[in-house]
Amino acid sequence: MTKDFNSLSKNELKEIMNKNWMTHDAMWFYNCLQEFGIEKTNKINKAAIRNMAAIEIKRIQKAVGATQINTFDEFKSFFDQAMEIATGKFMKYKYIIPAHNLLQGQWDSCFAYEGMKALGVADRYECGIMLRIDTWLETLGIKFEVEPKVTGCIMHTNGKCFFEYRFFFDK
Amino acid sequence: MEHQQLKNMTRGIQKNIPIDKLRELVAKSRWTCDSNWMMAMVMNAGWNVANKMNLQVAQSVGKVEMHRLMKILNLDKPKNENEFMTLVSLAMETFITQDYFDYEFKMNGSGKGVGIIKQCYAYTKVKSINVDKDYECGCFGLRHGWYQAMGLHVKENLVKCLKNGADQCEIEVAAVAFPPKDIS
Repeated sequence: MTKDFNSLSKNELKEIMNKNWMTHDAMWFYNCLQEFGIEKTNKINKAAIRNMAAIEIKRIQKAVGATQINTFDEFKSFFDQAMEIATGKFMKYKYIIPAHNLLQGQWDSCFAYEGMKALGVADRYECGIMLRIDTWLETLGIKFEVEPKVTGCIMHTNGKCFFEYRFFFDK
Repeated sequence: MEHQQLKNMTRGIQKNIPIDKLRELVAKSRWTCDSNWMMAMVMNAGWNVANKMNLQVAQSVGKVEMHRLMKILNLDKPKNENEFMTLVSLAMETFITQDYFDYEFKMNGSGKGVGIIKQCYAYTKVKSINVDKDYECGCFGLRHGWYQAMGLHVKENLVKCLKNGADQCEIEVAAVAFPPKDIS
């Protein structure tokens, strides 16, 4: 025994927890795919994400003591916290806020896409990653538009993934 | 405020979230995700397929997560009861939601032991929607995956079960075969 459990940093613990969670999710996806094929698996995957993300974001809201989000600054602050908690470094995304009411996200590689490639279904996979974010926003009652509107996987068609969210906060 | 400033500020706020609370939050989200997959599978394929799949998923994930835990803590495969108990306990304390789970685990010094579960999140959940008779416990798959990662063959025997009306689950753990001691 060479390392004490208590010496694990918060980030180390968060990383392993998030990795295990995504592995758990991927194992469900894989087993479902074997049983039903990609069409039904996409449908079930997205239903599970919608249900889970709605609960998840409320828990995060409670954990960080966030209240009703009324301004874009409040949204940015909360979104940063949610992303810090619910994602890991292995997800390799980045996002910027180039202007008021605008958020741009980019993936040069995507763990979900890599997984789908390994399963041989990348060409028919329907993205569940952005659905998680969309569900957060809907649950929080935040009005938004997102471009591009995608059902498949942009990483597969374009070689990289890019999203732009536009919000409608007055302040 | 610039975005980077805002990010730095929120990271500062996050430091105030205790590590236990953060762990609990992510663990709960994982098991919520799991239960949503499970119920989606039940709706689409029925209990037999969903139960079978749940065990397979749990076993695969259990193996991976135990490997990760051993790696991050620089731990070797257990060579004796103490190390075995430590690893099982570490996994329980790390990966399972503490708010919904109450358990203890005892070894008797001869490779046998018993796990006692007084409160189980899966049972609580399936009972709450009145499907506890249909659900087959997935925790056996999860632990089987842990044992595989430890390189151990472990036999478990369910003695008492909450699902059968008992006040707690009791799982006998037997035949933990550790590698022979190096006497060279």
